[in-house]
Amino acid sequence: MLGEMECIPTDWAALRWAFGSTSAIFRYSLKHACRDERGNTSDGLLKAVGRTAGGLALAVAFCVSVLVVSVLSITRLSPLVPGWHLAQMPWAGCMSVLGMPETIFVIVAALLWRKRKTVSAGILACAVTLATHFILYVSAHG
Amino acid sequence: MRISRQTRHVLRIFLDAPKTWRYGYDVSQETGLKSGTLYPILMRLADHELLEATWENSTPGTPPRHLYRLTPAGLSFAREHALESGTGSRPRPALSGAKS
Repeated sequence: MLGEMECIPTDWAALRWAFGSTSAIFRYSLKHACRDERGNTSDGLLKAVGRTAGGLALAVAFCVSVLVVSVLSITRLSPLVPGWHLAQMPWAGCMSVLGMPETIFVIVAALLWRKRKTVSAGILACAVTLATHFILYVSAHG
Repeated sequence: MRISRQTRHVLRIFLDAPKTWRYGYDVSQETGLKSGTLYPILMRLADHELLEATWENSTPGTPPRHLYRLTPAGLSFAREHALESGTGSRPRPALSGAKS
């Protein structure tokens, strides 16, 4: 496949060829690896990989949505409430970017743990990532 | 073995000149299949020993290219299956302007 690229006249065509070939090699290797692992039930493992990837994607999408809604709710609500000035209330910022989302993440992860373990693990991973990011940010910026 | 429309098309290309060794890229040009579709077909046919593959003797400094052609079993398989539903139109070439 690599040798063929020498004969493809344009860079874009060669790039498309490389992507296609790489995906073909990947799928072929995955299929054979699955077959070696589980006899002839490679489709089952492929489906399991798909389910895991789907669960993790769902978890990430959920966490991003919660974070966006949480931040927007604080920033949109603050002008409506007399006496609320976000600049003077750092705790409100902390609540919106860390406290509320983390609480929601932990509750949802606990609720989903038995039935949708992959999604739950993905949400917990996002929670840990967010907390780590927050700690690093605070320690760097004071 | 499941024979898809694309597989049938590849077999037809090989059947045009059964003794000729062909490059993957040339088959791609003739069938209009992209590499991501073509190579799984070639690999599956090779796994079933319907195609044989060999490395081209390349000049130093250039990577070797794979060549494919039908095996005797592949030839009879292709004759049996390639023309089963030959009414479909040929897809357009995926890539154009190959160096020969």
